[in-house]
Amino acid sequence: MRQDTGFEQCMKCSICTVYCPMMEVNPAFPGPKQAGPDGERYRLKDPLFFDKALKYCLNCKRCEVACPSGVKIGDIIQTATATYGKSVPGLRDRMLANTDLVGRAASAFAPVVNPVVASRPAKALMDCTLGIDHRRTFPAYSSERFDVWFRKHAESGQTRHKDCVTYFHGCYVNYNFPQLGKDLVRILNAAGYGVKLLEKEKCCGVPLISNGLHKAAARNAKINLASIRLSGTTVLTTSSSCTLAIRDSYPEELGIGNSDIRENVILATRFLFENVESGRIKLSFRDDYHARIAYHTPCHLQKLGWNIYSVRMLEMIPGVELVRLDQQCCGIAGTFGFKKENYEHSQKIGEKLFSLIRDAAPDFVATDCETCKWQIEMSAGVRVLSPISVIAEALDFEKTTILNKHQSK
Amino acid sequence: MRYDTIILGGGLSALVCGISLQEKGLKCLIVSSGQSALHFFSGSFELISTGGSQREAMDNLPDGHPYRKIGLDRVMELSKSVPEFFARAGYALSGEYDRNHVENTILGSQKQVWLTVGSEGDPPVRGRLPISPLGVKMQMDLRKRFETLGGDYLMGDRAVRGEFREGRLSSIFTENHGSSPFAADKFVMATGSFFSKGLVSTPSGICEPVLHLDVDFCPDREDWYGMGFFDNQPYMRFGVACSDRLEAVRNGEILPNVYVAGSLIGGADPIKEGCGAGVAIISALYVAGQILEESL
Repeated sequence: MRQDTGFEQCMKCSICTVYCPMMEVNPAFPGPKQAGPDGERYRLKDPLFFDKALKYCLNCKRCEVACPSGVKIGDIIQTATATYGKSVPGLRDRMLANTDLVGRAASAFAPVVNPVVASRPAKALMDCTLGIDHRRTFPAYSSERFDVWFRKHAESGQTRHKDCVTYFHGCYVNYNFPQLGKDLVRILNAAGYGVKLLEKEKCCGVPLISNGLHKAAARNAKINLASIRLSGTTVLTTSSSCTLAIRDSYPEELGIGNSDIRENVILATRFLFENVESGRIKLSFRDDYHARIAYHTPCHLQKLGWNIYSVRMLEMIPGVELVRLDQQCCGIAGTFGFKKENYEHSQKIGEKLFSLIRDAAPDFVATDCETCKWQIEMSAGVRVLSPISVIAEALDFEKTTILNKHQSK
Repeated sequence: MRYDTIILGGGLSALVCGISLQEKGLKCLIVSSGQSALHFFSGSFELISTGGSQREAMDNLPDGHPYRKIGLDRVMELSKSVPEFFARAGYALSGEYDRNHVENTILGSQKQVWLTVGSEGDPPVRGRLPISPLGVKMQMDLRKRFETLGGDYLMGDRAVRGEFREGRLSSIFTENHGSSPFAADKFVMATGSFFSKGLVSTPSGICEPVLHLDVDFCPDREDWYGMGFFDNQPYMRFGVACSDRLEAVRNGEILPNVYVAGSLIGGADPIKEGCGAGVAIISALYVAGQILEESL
């Protein structure tokens, strides 16, 4: 495990505590300063100082973004939980964490699973037997996985493009919402890029890490990194949390080096923006597209600092009226908000964001994180789209394809 | 990505400069490596606290002080515009622009201050301990104003190096954005002093770690410190070398499109002179004025 978290750089200014969303709603959480660098001093002396309340950390990284001294506060807390927190994850946590396994099974029986999971009796049952809160709306599963669709319908046509990128679709696109992946493939093809998938893709590991399954996360990380190296191309993502995991959690929290490929893994909106800016690709948008969109920055995208690319891409669309929402945590924090004991905190944290959205009265919200999407759709009652899907809705594919013809073979 | 002006640093000075430029329609980017000392804001700004009349007190400032570079009369002119600047951002300030008034500190002592947040007649409980809720609110409000005016604010990102072309800075690179450059016509260095690592002390001297600008400091380490806690501490006056127009100096030469603002400028001792906020705000307005003059 990486020891160089810079905890001795903490000068006790307490600024991180201002920006911790959990501290604001839950007095049982000691806060980033005490849970992180302060506690680390004690834990290094004696692991008995480990405080179970560290489990309340959302791993949103807002403390790290605020820290003027560059201390990796979130990493310290996550690493401490992994090192000293001896509790073995139960069935519920394993189910929530194993998005790959559960997704595979659920999408095979999607027509049955979806209505059952959405039904009241099933929700009540999951609440009292597993501890998954009955008020939570479950994301629906798709009956055809994205990778299956891609191999069946899209793969063969990809080689006619001169350049090629690889797409890390993640669990959400694969099992819940293949349309987002289809949108990206369509946009890239129109822009003159062929798309391929990784030879072997596993869950990025975010839900495994946050449920204490570090060994399983490390296994996935190694498989993903090997496939990324093998691909030899830029690897695009559409989920901010997958992106942050591959770039930062692998080395910082799992101790697995990635410096040779770290810069090659980027969010699709950043890739598109940079290609448009350099003139490599041209996008033509429909003139009959109109939408008032509120953009929400997911915490992990704020940590990456790449929200500007998604915002710029949305601003590029002529008919878009964009409201940039204040950067607030939505409260779901991946699998955290699904757990019964966290539901109230989760909703309380998100309340500020929900009211910002209601005030902005958009046609829909755009954001780059799937769990933010679930939380906002459920709690603010507004439809949420990925910026990639917005671009796909607004793009004139015919004209764009012609504009980028020179890119094809 | 391209901007008219890129400001490194995200505290009071950076925000005042960025807002001033955005108000006139220049597209700006602020790159901030973390939250700022504004979180320790006492509730009052100081311009110079060594006397009642500020213009008179300034006559005793040493050569090389940022106010001397800007010109004392110009400082007073800019001071006059400050209450209005903050009023546009939603903050009423009480006090005269050219005359100090007395405020109570949290420890019960009294000090000479310039402008105080709140209207006259508000309850006089204004001194604040860290973390200052008023400071936090002001940081958030100023950032929001900057973004509402169209600026981009990158929080938690660190500029790591610059690219120079023909004696000018052409772009900067940051930790988060790797090989993607941020290009601009003008740059403002407002990265602060030692607290925010705008200046870094190394075994061989004091350096400015991003662009490696020239730093004014005493070569002999013995001369850096006063031995008594309340003595003058010469290191407080260390800072980036710059021209009277606050253009930065690098390898002995002026960088014509890089300005320095706030506590990164050397020559001031904010504790002894009570001029921290004043230098931050006045230098930011002065730099913004020059950038605007050159771009219009």
